[in-house]
Amino acid sequence: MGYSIAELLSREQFDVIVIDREESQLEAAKNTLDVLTVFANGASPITMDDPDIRESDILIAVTGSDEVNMVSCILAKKHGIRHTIARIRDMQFMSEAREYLKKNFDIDLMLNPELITASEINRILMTPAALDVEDFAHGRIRLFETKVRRHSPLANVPLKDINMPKGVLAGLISRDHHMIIPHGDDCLLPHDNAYFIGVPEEIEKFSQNFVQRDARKLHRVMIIGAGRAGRYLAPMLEKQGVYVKVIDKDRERCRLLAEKLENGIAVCGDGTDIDLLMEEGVAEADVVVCLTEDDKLNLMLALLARHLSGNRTRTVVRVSRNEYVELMEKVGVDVVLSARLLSAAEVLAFARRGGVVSVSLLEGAKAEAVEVIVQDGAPVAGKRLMDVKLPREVLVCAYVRGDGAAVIPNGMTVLQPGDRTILFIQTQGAQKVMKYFKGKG
Amino acid sequence: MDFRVVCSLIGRLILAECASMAVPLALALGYGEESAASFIASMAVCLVVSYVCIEQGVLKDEKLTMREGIAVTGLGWLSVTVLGMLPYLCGGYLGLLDGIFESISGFTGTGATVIPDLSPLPSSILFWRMMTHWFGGLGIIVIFLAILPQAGQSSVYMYEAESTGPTSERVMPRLHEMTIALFKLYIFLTSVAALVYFLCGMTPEIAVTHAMSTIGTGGFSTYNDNAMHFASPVVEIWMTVFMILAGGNFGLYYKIWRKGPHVIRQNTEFKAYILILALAMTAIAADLVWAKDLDALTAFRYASFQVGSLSTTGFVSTDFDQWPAFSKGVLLMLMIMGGCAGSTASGVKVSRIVLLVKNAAAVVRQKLAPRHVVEVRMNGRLVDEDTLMRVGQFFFLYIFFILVWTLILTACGLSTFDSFGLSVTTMGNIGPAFGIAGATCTYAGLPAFVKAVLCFAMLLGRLELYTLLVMLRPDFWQTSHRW
Amino acid sequence: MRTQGLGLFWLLMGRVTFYFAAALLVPFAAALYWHESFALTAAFLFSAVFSALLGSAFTYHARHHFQQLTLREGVFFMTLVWPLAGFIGMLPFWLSGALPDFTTAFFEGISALTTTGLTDFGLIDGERAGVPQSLLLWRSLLSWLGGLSFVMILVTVLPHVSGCFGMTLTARQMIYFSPVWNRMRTSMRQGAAIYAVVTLLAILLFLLAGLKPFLAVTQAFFTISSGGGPFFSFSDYNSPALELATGFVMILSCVNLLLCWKAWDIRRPLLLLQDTELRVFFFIALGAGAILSLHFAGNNVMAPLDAVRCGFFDAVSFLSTNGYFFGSMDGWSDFDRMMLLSLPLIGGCMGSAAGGIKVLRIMILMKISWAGLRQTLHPHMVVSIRLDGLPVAAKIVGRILSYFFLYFVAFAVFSLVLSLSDMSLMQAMSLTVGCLTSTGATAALYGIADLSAFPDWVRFVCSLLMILGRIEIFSFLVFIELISRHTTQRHW
Repeated sequence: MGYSIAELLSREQFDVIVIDREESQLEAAKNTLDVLTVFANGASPITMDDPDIRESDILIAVTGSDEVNMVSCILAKKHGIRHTIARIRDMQFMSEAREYLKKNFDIDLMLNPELITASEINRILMTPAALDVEDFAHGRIRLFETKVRRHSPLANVPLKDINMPKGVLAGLISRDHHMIIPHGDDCLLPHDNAYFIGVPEEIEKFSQNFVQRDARKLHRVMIIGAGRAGRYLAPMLEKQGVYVKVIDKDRERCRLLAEKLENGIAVCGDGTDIDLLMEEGVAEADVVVCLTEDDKLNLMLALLARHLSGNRTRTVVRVSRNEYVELMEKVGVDVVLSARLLSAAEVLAFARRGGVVSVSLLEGAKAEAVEVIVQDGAPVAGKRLMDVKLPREVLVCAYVRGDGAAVIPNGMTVLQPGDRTILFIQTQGAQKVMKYFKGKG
Repeated sequence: MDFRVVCSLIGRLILAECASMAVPLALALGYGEESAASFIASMAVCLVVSYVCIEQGVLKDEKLTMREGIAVTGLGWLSVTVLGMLPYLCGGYLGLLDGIFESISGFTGTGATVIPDLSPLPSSILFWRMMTHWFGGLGIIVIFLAILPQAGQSSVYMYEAESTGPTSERVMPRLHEMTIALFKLYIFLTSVAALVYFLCGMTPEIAVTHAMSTIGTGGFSTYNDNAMHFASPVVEIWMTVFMILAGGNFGLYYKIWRKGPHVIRQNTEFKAYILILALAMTAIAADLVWAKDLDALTAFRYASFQVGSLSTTGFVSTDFDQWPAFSKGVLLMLMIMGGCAGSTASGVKVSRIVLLVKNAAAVVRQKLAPRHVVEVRMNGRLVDEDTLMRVGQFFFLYIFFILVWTLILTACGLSTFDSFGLSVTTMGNIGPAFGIAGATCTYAGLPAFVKAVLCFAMLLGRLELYTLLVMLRPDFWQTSHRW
Repeated sequence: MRTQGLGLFWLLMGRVTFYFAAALLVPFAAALYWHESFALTAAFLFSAVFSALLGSAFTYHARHHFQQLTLREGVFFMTLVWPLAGFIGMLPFWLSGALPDFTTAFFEGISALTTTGLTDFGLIDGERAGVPQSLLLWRSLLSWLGGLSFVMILVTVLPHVSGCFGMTLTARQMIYFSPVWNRMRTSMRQGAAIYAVVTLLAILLFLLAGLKPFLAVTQAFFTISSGGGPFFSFSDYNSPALELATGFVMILSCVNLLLCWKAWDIRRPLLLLQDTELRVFFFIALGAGAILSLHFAGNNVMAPLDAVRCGFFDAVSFLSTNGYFFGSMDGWSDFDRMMLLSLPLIGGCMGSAAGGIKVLRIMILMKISWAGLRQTLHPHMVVSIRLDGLPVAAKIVGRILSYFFLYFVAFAVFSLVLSLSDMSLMQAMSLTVGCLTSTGATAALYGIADLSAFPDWVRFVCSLLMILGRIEIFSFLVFIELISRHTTQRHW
């Protein structure tokens, strides 16, 4: 995961130093990324004393051990590094000791990749027809990604002719791996991935257009793999009235999960056993979520599920290698998530600071949806949007002023400092764009 | 769950039942009895019902799902037993409830009769009674699978839903071959028993019917006074031998046949079974000598017969209701224990009792040595935690139901002890109890509600609780929301 | 002594003996005050002195003891304290000549101590015809001490010996069990405090209901320890207030004392109402009471109002393993008897002085059976049941299933043994249930009011059975195993 974060940050023109105790990991980073590598123990005071490291702005500790991460952060703070981010995977730390950790160790951001993944999946599943759902401005603005189907009523219709509700804007279209910021004349073609942004209630209604005629409310979800992500996800889904079935090979993990479930069941068995899958009714599941640790296994399970159900179930897969995301989507998996990308997005948001509240990476990090608070003295503040001459790579989709409702801006809108704005940015222009929203200094 | 598949299979089961009615029909025609008409009527009804079912149903090639398997077994038993009362009903020999009771008592191998006097009944009807014992003993599903040509992987769940015992043990790799082997063994044992009875002096028909009742661990007789009628120690000894044999694991017998008698040494269950029976016989015999002043030989004769009988079958060679309290207590405990797993008898099963005892001992040892790894072994193999849990649960449910039935029966006006005995004997599919349904009595005098409750208890005991109980859960049937 | 011997065992035995010696001084003082016979007063004094000497001997033996309780010490103590206390307790009865036969006196002592309530003293109604008041006082005090001893063992030794049978479940959020001697003393003090408070409450209630002080105290002792006994005839008083008071006290005797302590400790009395086990207990009590009342009224055994009083009173009485009868059993059908026979099997809540299998265990058994049904459909499923929102470990569930089996085996074996005497099988079974659940009066349901008509060995067997019920059978098995190991091999 550190690799992914390093990659993203270095693309943003940040200076990145990667510390690792393993030479082999450092080799990979050194050869492919534009970063400085240091071979040392991240949790040692000696390392912190190194002048290169001492002057850093942010320390990101993402080793496999929570304790090492915490120690690194403490040491970092003591040596003058201003911000710290730690990966904490242990569920108990996250829930019970969160405040304690924050207050006493002053860790600015705690990453829990599995929780992030689980929340993401939960959000996506709860919106039918969605491939991705993000919330901004404390839930007042929602981003909705969907695939345009061949028989959709909205396909091949110019955007200006589509009767979109007032609170909804077409933000971005992904067509054949190109990101297009649409204008009135552009159409939604079949097989496009379209991103819409707007007020949540309107998005809900609008999304019905993309829902297949015979789609039902989510009733039955089968999760294969009861690791941490599965253990977070299952209770979340259950709380929303879904009947969950989890399959895992390890009896102990099944037991841990069975203790959390009210109505759902945990089955101990091999997810690749077709007999078991048939017996547990994979053909009748609405969604099959593959959360094992092995990417290849996840892919196979997803395909197996599709095959056994005659293409009726939706499949969601978690991968660890970002490169597989596109491949999987091509092969036929409905939703592919990379825990690393999701976490990296959080880090990125934090790193950019200057008013950046959150970042969502889209299309395998080729585009982003960013929530920014306009700062005092920013170039964009106080002027009409059409006068600001923002770069081509950005689209201002929506903004929220104070406690008011979300508004879709047009050329006449004037942004003020303190506004929360949602932007669609093509990643290569991100740095350029961010300058417009940052204040001086 | 596909109801049509279930329907079609049940239709075939009923057809098989109809075909089996041909035997007593032939007997009736041979003797010129008027019961021939009632058999013909019953067969007609069965034919119609099975035709309807098969027409509505659909046979599919793939494997039956577990729910379908359980449904076929449970509903199959219900339909076969209910339709089995047709000969009694059509000929006017018994009313509706009584007929159903007698039929269920027959198929489940209980042997409790509601017919106060057997003598006016035609032999064909009596023969049908004994036949129901024989079919239900090994299991109608097992016999069905043995005869059906395409049974195989698809019927695993049906077989498991009917088979008894804590674990599903297979003696042979292919299910179909195994059912055929069991069926052949069953026929063989019955024939041997019939032959021996014949040599002891019974007429061929009596010998065959009683052999069927013995090996099927039923307990019906063609005589009102049951086994007391023969009044012959030789007959009683042979009956005891065959009853005890029928209480053993048929799979084990098959293994003995193939591999030789040394297999018994490894089988904990059978050894425990024989040991418990021997202890019980000695204890009762001693009690009889001491309390009732019988001579040792007579005491042992009665004790051995009743012990062998009341753990499985339910034949009566003497009025044990007059026995001292201790002996009755031992008999009661034997009724709860039942026979071995994989036998034609019911009850908690010896293997479960053995496992429970071993588990308790293991818990004690574990307490004294928390770091040792304590294992429970049975039949030479390790038993896992899950099985032990299920065995414990089964035992609890079994006792729980006995208490519930006792409460219900006392609410209907029977005395506590009688109710307790009735519950134990029907759940264990034995037959005779104490007091109002004692050794020399029939169930004829019981109130109708009680008979209905006992019908349910008999089926519950035969199908080992879970098969029937799981069908009572609503989410067994609905497949839309929960799955 | 390099290896750890039985130091703490002797210490605990010594302590128990001292407490009993002190307790014996109470009836001694009462006998003096009431000018009772010399034999009686002397018997009390002698018993007290004897116990004190015995206590010193035990304590001397225990002068080297370790701080932490070993399993051996715990098991020995749990098993042997009952015969010891029974012996001390029966001394006044025996020495004063009230019960000249040793076995009868010993049985009486054990019956009082295990709060069973079977007695050979016969029926009384406030005044003992021919039996001195001080002896009655001692009998009730012995019952109370028995309950107290049980509670003491509950918070100290029981969790280590057979805690896995569910004891630790109830303590999950409550008192911390520790095998260390000093901590145990604190727990004992806490347990004793709660028990004393509850007793005082009971005495108060009885006084309010109109009983004379002496009777209020003795009845409180009997009822709060869930002992019961035919020493008191409710129908003679015919006072609904008294029945209500008794009912309330009986319920008190079944409440989880650890829960009370916790509620007191954190000043949240509502905790009691939120406890699932207590709710289930009430549900069972009310349900059984309602069924019995309806049945009584429906069969015209008694007037409707009486039926309600009788039904509920008897239901609560038997569920709490007290064993009081409201009136006579005229006209009762076997259904009523069977109901009252089954109720003590459920018993009170875990952590109280009542007997039976305990509500908590029954709840878990029912839950696992329901979950097990589901497992039939999904054979690879992992089953998990929850209690009060927290999951129950599979190991504990397995142990509870084992415990149920042990209970049934004890029932079966002892019923068979008792049936060898001159009673019918049903009577033997009801007597076994009574002794095992420390109820006592279940035998009266089927005709055995007291054991006077039976030979000595029956009383001895019953004494053993009553002790077995109190130590939850399992400890006895461990005890046997320990002894057999010690004698058959040099165990290392």
